[in-house]
Amino acid sequence: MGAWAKIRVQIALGAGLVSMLMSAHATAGVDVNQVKAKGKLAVATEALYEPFEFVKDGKIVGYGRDILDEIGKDWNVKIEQADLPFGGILTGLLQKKYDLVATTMIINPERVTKYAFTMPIAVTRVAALKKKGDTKVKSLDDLTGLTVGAIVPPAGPTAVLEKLNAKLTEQGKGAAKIVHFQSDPDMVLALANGQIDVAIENQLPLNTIVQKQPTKFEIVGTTGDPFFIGWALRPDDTALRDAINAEIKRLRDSGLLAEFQKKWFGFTMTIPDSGYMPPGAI
Amino acid sequence: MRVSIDTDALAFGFPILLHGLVNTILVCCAATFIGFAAGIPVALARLSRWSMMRLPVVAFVELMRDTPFLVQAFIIYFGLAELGIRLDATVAGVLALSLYATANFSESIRGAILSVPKGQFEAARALGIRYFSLIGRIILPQSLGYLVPALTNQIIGIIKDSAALSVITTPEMSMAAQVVVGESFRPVETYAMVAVLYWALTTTVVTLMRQVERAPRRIWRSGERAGVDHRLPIEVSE
Amino acid sequence: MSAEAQALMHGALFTLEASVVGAVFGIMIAVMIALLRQAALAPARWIAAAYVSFIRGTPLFVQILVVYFLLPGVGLDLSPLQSGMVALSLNSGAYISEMIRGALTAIPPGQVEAAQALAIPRRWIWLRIILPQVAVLIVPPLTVELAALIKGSALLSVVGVVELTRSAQQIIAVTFEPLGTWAKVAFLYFLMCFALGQLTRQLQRLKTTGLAV
Repeated sequence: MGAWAKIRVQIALGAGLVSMLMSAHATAGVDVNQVKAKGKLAVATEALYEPFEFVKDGKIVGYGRDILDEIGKDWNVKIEQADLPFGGILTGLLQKKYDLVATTMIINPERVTKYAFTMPIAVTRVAALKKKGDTKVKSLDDLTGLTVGAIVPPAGPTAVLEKLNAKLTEQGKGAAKIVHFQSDPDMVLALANGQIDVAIENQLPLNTIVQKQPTKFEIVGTTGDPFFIGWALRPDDTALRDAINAEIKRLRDSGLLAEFQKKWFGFTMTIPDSGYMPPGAI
Repeated sequence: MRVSIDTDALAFGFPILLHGLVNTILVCCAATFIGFAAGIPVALARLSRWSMMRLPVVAFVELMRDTPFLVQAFIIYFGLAELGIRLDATVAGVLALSLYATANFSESIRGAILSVPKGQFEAARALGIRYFSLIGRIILPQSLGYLVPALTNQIIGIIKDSAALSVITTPEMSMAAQVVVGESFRPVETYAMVAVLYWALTTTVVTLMRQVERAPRRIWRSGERAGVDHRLPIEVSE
Repeated sequence: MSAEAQALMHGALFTLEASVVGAVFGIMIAVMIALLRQAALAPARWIAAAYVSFIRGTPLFVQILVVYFLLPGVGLDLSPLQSGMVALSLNSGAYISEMIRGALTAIPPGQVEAAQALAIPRRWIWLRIILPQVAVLIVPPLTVELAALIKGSALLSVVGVVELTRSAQQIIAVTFEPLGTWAKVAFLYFLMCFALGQLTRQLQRLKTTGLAV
């Protein structure tokens, strides 16, 4: 390597070292009084998931947004919500770019040990979507020989699908072929094109899809235990998390949450305030 | 403000990043070769007298150069899927990068061909040399002086643009970086390391291409030593 | 206009704004780098040269992510848009500084020597003789850089800036029609960059017909 190149690499390494040195860590957690004092709650969402969070007329709307607006009203703070790709959203949370990740996430055993999760804002099940009138897919118990689509791991419904597949293999029936997709639109298009026979996802967005295109798709059924959807905060911010839980509880008890559920999902659900956290949760 | 360097994260991430670097090199090599091979006919088509041949090529090149590469990658990966053509992320990535390379390289090749004195074309025509022989044996070798530096810049551009392929999950270095960040939660260290690796890669390519640039002269000179006569068979007056 | 078309136009306007602001700050940074490169102190010159080499040798994609995650560490709590603009400006600054460097070498040194012989103060030589010529010379490459910024701004979607590309992703999540939406988006980018390309061609034609230096 020529002399000039060596010097350049050294400068680069030096710059890299400097930038590494600048990764600072503060130790105190954020609590609700600080948020109220600042006058704003910094939230990150991947607004690509109707009906929970999506964009309409340039604004983020949906079930999640309605809940956030209520919290903002009660605390008298402005909700600053950014639409970010899911890939870096939790990293940004830990880097303190925002205080709350209000995007649909399943409360699962791995996540709860790394982040402080709120109480559930929704309870849902895994469901399957197929082309309307397709007789190949009869029920979720027998997916043998079918091509099944699911979102790339670590997605909750995908884990359920893998368990179903394992059960089929145990029973000697033969597994289904699993194809992973980056997003719901991608998966639904594959279904429409016949590249997959059935799509496995959270029941609620699937309901929305059927609502929008009732002649093209229908739900096969639901399966598995219900799972809980919650939002994430930094592990240090348990005080803020508890404050948000208090808000969610208040909305549930006053019936406002049920109103939102009716508005966005078409039915209401029973939100528990205990017993939903896997062991070892923050 | 307590400050720390997480050396464990660096140690953990580095092998994954190196793997990504290898993938980046493979993807960029493929795109470079395809871009060069396909760029020559595209450049020639653009120089053609027939507008039937010229106009679609002009449209293609302008389209590829006036739109962001990221959008091109989305169209090839997600857009074609709507039409039923579902490509694997790697194939889609190489395809998108190759199309982009073809359009960009063809412009450099076109410039290089135009830099060769017109007299060469006329003399060859006068001698009855056929078109493809003319291009392959007379024009292109002489265009290398202009071509090699121009192509070096283009290749560096391809390496840098390949980072966008991480958004359609093509395995390459930026995708590896995101995986590492997802596990280690040290974005600054990881992305800084990745930047250094890209810098090392592009610097190496520039150094290598400089050697390539000197090669024709060395071959030329060794011919002189052997007594080869490089003069053209006839005298051409401009 | 449908809601979707409105959202796309909004995104396109945002893209343009972000690009122009990036170019403006880029010019300021470029002037600073160009001055550093002329500095008496060798380390200053090296830093400037290394900076330009680094920016030109690394992907904008990675630069955006580094700036986005690095700034909070230095105490700057910026929004995704603001950190995106910083990344674009830093990137642009390096490329524009090369244009300035090229323009400076195109100015005949005789002009500076003559001015010095006439005892014109250094500041005036810079402001009244060199800079005006540099400003004119860099206009065509600046239009090229603006087109590059428009294309580069698409990468800001990765840190959540709602410009044209992110707007498209938001629309596709609701309409499930990627091909049509991306085609419209490509067309909008093409319009902007192609128009700039034509402007570049006109400017270069003006230069060769002798209107400029």
